[in-house]
Amino acid sequence: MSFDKAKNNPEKKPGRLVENVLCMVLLLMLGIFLMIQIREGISMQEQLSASKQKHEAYQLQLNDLKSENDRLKEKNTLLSEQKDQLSENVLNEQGYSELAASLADIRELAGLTVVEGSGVTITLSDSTITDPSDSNQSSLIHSQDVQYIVDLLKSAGATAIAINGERIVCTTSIICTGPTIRVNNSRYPVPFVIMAVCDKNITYDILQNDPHILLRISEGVEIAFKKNDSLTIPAFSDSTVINSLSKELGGDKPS
Amino acid sequence: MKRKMSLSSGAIIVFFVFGLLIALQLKNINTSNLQAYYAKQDLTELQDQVMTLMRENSELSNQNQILSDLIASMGDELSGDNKSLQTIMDEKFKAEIFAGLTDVSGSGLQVVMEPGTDISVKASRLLLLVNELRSSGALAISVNDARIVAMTEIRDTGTANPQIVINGNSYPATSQFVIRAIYKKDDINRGLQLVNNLIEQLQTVSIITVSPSDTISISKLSEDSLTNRQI
Repeated sequence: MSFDKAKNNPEKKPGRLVENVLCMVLLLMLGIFLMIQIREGISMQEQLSASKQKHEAYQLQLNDLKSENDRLKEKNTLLSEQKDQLSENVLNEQGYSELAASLADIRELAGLTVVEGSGVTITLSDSTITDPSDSNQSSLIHSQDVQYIVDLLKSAGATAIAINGERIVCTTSIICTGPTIRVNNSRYPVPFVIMAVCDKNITYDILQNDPHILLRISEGVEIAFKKNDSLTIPAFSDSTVINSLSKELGGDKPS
Repeated sequence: MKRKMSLSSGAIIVFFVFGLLIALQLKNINTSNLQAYYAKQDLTELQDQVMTLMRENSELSNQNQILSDLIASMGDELSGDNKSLQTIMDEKFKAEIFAGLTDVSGSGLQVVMEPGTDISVKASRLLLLVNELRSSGALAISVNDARIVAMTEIRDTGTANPQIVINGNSYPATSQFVIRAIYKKDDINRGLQLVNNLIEQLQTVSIITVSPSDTISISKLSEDSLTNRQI
């Protein structure tokens, strides 16, 4: 009906032509947009799947290496203990029992032996609440927090300390590396578990009443203390570090 | 009527395509978020971790091999010649150095800390300095001739007459503290840089001077020190 009207009314023809052209342009543009979106989507999907694959492959390799590392460390500790025992046997056998005792003391002082005893365990974790206005990231545990507790434990008379199983020795530095901290060349994410063989009651009181720790707790980080009747602090066993230090500082070996 | 229908179908198509575009856009945003997540995970960080662990595992394997050989030779020579004894003496020598029981000398840094605007030197500032020296690769450190070993404590004590306790010995906090650190030659500049950064941070409260030297001597841990006697 309207078509007939339009046919009969030539003045309306240009208006419809414009309408059709506009409609065509609109559809064309929509088509172009659709095509762009689809292409972008495909390309993003490809990129995502590539980075996901790469990421997963590295994560898998990392997990394998970590379990291999644990196994090697365990074997290393076992072999070191065997070697120490044999050294003692050799010295005692050859009548050097004093030397054997002295060697044991030196190794203990250096942190090269396993230490067992009562003490405390401190666990440090980031705050579970993230505050976007917290520009200083005070709700996160930093290497300085771990260092502070280690220094505090030393002041309290600890005889052996370990962070996530890493024994604190004379060369140990605690360094922040992104979301992890590096202790004795190994990196650890939160939570950080610090174990110390010490007087558990005195140390527990010192930790609980320390103003800096109380401040950090009030800032949201989680710091938990626990008294332990029996703790085992592993020995430092990285002979590369020991050899390198003796090479740099030792000069000539004694005869 | 026909025009109305064509307009309606046109509108349907336009809205359908429009809806499709929105859906696609949302999907792309989701994908881009996931991509951002993977980018944030930082592949280079993972690669670094893999490389470090590979190196560490290789070193551990070597160490284990050396230990196994040593154990085998010690077992064979348990009641035999002096070769095992020599190995043990070498071991003792290394352990003594690692424990801080030998005098050592070499090139390094000497840092002098004075109270400045504070009435006394604070243990926390000495700790900051010592920890920084250690992080920058110091091989041996002493504070006022007290050797810093694994379990050395540095703490404040006393209020009327403030003292700083190091290895169980007290030092007047109102006096100057001389910190010596021995470095590998290549690491001295790193140490110097870190100490200079620290000096900038602490300049309002303490007077700190640092000087490199080729003849830094650090004494062994005193046999009478509490740290030594604890063992």
